[in-house]
Amino acid sequence: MAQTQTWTDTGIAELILLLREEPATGMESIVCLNMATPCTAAVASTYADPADTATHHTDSGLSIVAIDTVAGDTVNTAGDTILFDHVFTATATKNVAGIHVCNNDDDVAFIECCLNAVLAVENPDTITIDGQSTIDQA
Amino acid sequence: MDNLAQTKGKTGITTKLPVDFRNGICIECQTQMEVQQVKLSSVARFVPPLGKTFKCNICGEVHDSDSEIGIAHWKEWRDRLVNRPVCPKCGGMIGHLIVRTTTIPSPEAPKCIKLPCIIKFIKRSLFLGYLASYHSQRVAYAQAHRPEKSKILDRYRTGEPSPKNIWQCIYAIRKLRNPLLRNI
Repeated sequence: MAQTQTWTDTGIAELILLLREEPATGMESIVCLNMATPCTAAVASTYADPADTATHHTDSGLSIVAIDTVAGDTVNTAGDTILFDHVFTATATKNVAGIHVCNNDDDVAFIECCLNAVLAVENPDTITIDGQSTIDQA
Repeated sequence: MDNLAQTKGKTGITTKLPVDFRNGICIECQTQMEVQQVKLSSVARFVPPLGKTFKCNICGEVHDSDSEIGIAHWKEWRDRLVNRPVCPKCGGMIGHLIVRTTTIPSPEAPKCIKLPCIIKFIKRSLFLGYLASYHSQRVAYAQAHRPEKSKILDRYRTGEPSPKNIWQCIYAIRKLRNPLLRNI
């Protein structure tokens, strides 16, 4: 299974709401996905309904929290990239199949990522995410 | 310049998401680490630059980045406590790498319907399929052999060097599956 990650349809809709200055919030939260087998990221996934049969972790250091750091960066044109950087510290034995990068209201998943394989984490393993998303000016 | 070229605009969002999975044994002194609360500002890997104004995560208001309250709230947010494994001996916070995942891009659609374009697309798709298979097996293998339990070659943990063509992928997969060959 390849590692797959994608912006979701609801994530793009939230981005458009932000551009329209409608009620919406930016990239603020992150949560691990719980599933026993590898999942496949899909654009149709939502915060409430992640890929395949995955669910959000709710404890053990893998639940939804504020992303450690979110920053702007440049890849092709000035300010075309967002960097997000987070470390999860597990406090129990759990499976992590992927992650959701969410908005501040914790009701929209901007990005869904499903990992190469399910990570079997133990206390006190860490999962370090060093994400980068670029709006491509082709 | 024709109108099409002027208005083509953005074509997509590309996302990279490498993930490092580390255990709780200090890389410096091999001691079991303990989870403690530390200030985020002492462990964050980059500090985002502030614009002229920013939305405050403490009070929800928009502050000028040079205002007193803006700076105070910014520091408070940066200094919030987060859980990290900390080595009781040396204070280190980095464990041994169990495995680093690898992002495999999806193949680009063919740009024309001529035979060479189609063949190129099929070859690229086959390569990425084999590459995905190699990396998923590598991640599973590295996880089954955590660094505190057994020693395996670094290339299975980091994914580097990665196979560059279909034949290298097939060879790497066969090698990984063979217990006699995979440690060579």
